[in-house]
Amino acid sequence: MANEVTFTGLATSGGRVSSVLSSLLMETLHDPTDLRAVMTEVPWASIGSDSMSVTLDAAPGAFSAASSEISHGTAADNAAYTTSKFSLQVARYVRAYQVSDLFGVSGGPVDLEAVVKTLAAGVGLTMTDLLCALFNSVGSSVGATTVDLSTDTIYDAAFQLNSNAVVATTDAPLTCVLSPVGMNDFRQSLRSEAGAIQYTDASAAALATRGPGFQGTWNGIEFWQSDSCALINAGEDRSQAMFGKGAFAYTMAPVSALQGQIPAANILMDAGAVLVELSRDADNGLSKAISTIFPAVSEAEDLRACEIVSDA
Amino acid sequence: MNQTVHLNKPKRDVRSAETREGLPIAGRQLRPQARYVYITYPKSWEYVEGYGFLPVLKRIVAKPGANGVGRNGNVSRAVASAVEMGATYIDPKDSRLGEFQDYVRYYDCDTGARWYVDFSQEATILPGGEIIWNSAEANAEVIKFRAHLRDNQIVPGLAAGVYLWLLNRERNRHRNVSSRSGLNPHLTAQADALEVRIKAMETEWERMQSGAIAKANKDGTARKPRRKIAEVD
Repeated sequence: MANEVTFTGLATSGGRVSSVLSSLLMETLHDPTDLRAVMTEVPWASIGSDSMSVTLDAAPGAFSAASSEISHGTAADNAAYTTSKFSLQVARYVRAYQVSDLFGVSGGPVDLEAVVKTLAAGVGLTMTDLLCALFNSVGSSVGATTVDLSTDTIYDAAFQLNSNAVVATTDAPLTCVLSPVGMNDFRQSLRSEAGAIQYTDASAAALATRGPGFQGTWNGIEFWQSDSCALINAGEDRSQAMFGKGAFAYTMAPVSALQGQIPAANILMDAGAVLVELSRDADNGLSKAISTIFPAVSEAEDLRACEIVSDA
Repeated sequence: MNQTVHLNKPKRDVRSAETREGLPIAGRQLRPQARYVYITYPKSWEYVEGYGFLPVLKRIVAKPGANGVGRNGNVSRAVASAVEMGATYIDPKDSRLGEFQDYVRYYDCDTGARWYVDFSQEATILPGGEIIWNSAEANAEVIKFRAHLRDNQIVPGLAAGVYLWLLNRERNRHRNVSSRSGLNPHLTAQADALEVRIKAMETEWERMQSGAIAKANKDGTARKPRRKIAEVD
């Protein structure tokens, strides 16, 4: 036999290629948790400043009894109307990808559109990073260094919040953000729990309304998981948190205000809070997609949150 | 006119010898930790075996946009807010910190970024790029740092009310674990450990109190004050 038509033969003579690129674009493993849903959004309204203060109104107080029929005693003395405030100071956060002309000409499933999409997906991750960075500065904390998280730790945090008058309701349940290891330890601890309280895993519908990172509900507490929970105590522990509605607030200054400064043709995407701009280097045949956001995250009221420390 | 040229000194290509500088984060799902400063709160104390009651360190992370941290990473506003809530700021430049002065440390990353760490952290980088930290050893040094903060009165001492609050918390936990250990035999060991811990906490507090009384007697501050009679015209 001779002159068989084989793959090996054609691969060397140009009839076949060793590998082709599939049109299917698969996602690389990453933690897509977006914690914007568990914060209070404050619309950006600062004029002439990069910082916006938000007022917390005075808490109402119970009335005092008058000392007698004809005298108020001290009951009618002026009570202090004690307000407080927190600030949201925006800062520029940027991410950029630069692609060459050859990248564009050669084609493939990863094109400029895919690059822009990846840039936009980073917004949620940035907000999650900013929120998780605040957990370790919260005043109250439960758990102990190098000790695995358990249902007891979760109860401690819930009781601490309840003592602080943070009441969970159906509309505003408590939120608990744990690291992946913390979540594993919690599930492990649940296995040995006796009693009727059931952990409910996140359903597709729950994920659709809350977004990626939502894990499930237990005892009126909504559990989220994020790898942004910071390592503390020289990497021995993770800083996580449980909090009620209004504990943390965020804002995103609208980058669409930059439209006057950027030629319209250079704007690849303007989604209000995120802007993707094209910067062209014709000499070198390079196109750079630069994504910009101006976010701020702050602790609105410290008593509404409780840090959870557990073994990393 | 072209002439024959003899080249006898090829240039060295240093790129062929792979060198690694800093923590490898380029192209990996790793986010370097941001710069920070330590604070402590009056109720942030815990009992650590072998060291007694130690302040728990909290961090204000210098992430622009987080809790009022400025665009240049200025933490002064965030520190001021924490101090207003009763926190004690551990100034890295405080001379009382001694060997722990300038505790904010970092490693360079291969992207040019900085990865801020606790001062005692060491990294081992495996050939595949995985980073392994010496967490247990490093934390032991952090515990010494916390003891230094307490011993040199850089943080206010443990108040009696806070001690009782900590003790009650442990007692409640012990009671809770004990009551459940009938149905969950594995909790018995945990209940026993908590009992030992509570005993150790009480012993340590008694030791601290007797030490304080002895010191006051020595200084003369514990003597009964002289009775003063107000002069009335």
